Amino acid sequence: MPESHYRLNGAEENLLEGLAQEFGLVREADGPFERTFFDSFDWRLYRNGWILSEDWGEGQEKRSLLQTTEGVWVAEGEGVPGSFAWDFSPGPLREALQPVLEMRALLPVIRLASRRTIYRVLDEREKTVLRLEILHPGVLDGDDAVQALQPRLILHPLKGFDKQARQVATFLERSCGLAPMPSDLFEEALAALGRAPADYSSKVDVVLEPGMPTAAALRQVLSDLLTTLLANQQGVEDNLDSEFLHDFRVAVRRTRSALSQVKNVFPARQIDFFRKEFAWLGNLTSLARDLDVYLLHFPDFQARLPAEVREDLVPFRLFLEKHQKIEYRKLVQQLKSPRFRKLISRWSDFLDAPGDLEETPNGALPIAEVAARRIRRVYRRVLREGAAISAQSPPEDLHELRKTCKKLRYLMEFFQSLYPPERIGRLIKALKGLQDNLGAYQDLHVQVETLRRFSREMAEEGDAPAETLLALGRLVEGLDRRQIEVREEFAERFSRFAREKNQLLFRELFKPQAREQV
Amino acid sequence: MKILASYNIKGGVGKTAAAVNLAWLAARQGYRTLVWDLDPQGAATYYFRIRPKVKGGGRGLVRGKSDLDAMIKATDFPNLDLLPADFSYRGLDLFLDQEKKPTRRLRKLLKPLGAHYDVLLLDCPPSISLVSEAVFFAAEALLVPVIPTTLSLRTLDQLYEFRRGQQLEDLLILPFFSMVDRRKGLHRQIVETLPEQHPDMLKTPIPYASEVERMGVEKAPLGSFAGRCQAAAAFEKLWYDVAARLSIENT
Repeated sequence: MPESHYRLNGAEENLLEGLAQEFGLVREADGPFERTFFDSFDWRLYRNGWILSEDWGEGQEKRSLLQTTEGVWVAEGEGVPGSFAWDFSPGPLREALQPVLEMRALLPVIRLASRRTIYRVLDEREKTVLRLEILHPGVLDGDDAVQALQPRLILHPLKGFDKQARQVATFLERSCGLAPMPSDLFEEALAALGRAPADYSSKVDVVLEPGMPTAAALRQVLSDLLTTLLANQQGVEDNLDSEFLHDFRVAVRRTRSALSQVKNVFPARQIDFFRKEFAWLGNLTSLARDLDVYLLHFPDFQARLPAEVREDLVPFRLFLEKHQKIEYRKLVQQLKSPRFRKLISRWSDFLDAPGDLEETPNGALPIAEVAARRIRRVYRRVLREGAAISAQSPPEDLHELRKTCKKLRYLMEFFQSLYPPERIGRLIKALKGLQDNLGAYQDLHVQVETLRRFSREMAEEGDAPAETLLALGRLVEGLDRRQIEVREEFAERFSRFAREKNQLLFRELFKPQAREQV
Repeated sequence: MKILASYNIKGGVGKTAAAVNLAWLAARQGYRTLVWDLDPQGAATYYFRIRPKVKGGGRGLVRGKSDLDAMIKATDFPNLDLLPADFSYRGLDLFLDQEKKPTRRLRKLLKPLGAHYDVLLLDCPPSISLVSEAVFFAAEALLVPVIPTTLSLRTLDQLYEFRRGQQLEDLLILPFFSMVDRRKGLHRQIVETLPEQHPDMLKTPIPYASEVERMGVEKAPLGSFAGRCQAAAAFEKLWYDVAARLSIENT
């Protein structure tokens, strides 16, 4: 039997008196009760069908409960001890959270401050057969002011004592006239604050009409990217986890790609400033992101080494942490600078200003036409560059192809809403398979170079024990070997992407529009 | 699901106290835990204030006629359930004997519980019987409380011999000292020297304590009414020893 909620409208004393006459009733707890719901910024738990809450009540230790959105138990453990899955002590809760949260921090989403009393209903052995909770919930808003929610009585049945739970439920409904109500406190609290679950995603989320003027469609895509960028700014400044900066950077990169890939839409004199400034912003974030990446990879780096030398790598982590802090500090300074503020305010003014559609060759054309033409062109380039790659090709050629793939991917994502979701989804997936291979290759290539550079810098800064440098050397050798393996997989990945079925679908989906053919 | 059994050939060695307290600790750590009170005396069932009665009795369970899950009762503690004792369990040997492959029967019966529980603790009746053989076959580890006396040590040796004889090498035997009275010279001496001969031995001795005896009066696991006492702390340490030995983190 699941727990059930009943609406309370005053007269609690009478209700309790009535209950006490029928059933053995003992008060178990009485006092303030706090519940915090946690999730990552991008709602990983909720998207996985989970809700994590941490409870604390008078005289109790903090307990966390992970359950499905339908209220089915998933795992439980001590409270939320820190931001990350790895902060939890070993146990089922950490096991469950780790693969879903990965590197993302848990943040409080909703905080409830309530008053509650818990009663136990006892049988003749003084065994608890169910619990009754009287809850006066309140949700804390942004200013920590409490907003009251509907008071309720919650019936918590116990396994194997269904008969007793049914008796009490019948008594509550028939003799006390209580009406059942929905049991989802989380959504109720979110709604009270005017929010809905999963209200952030790093994905481009716009709905375009095929006949829309290209300038208007592009503005919509760029506005969405600006929203994502700004949504992540605070998390970057507070360095809550590595993914705020990652999403921030992707938004910048997509913005730059949109400006350069979809040409002749906005007047060049207006765009030049933004292109220059977004390039500056992209560069600004690179060093901090690099260090984030190496810190994220650190456990994997360690695992690649033989057990007896793993500890030797620890000074390298300290080096990375030190420099990560320094780079974040520099970055945050820039995000507070007049130059950044000016870019953002001019950019949002530009995106809000309509008009100027007629001034450029493409601005007034229907988006479906411009998008298809552009995607076609970049797609052909991917095929051409990919086909030219042989076993002897230098790494630069693969890097070039990787950049072209990225452009294609962004274009397809920007204009995704113009195409049947299932079909464009299939092409994006095929492209992703190729990109994963190219990305892995490029990452390993860069890692080998960067690890060599870090070793040099550590030695120069004088905090590099000889064993650490040796361990780094072994790591580089291992990564070199892995790079060769990944390189060998390329041909197969590319031919899978370029197979006829996909080519036909590409041609079909992005074929020239009727007006173009004339 | 990790299946553990609290077992000793001898009775009165703190077997039920260990089963109940370790189960309570596992549940508190967040593991969905079930205790099956296999002892017809029903001490574990009593500690949880549950009626020692199973519909259809031991015969129905062994035959697979009764739905095991429907017999399970929640205790007063989160994540901790009990399959109660029943007086008919005194005939469990006989019921098992009427089945094909009686020693494998229990293991088969327990299998479906894996979907609902992370840890199953069997509180076994003392003595060596068909029931205990079936338990040895089903469990991954035996938790064996040992009072530091010569007689107790003999029964521990008997257990090792029995395991050898039955070719149950996969079964972990995890003895630990129970009801240790530091005032007694012999207790101190055995606690200090025995672990050298038995490297399997769990490191934490459980002291003899009046709080443990009070479990019968309070009718509750030790940690729930005397969580700060020395014995409760010892059980907690013992549980972490057990969990580490069985890599329970990875269940």
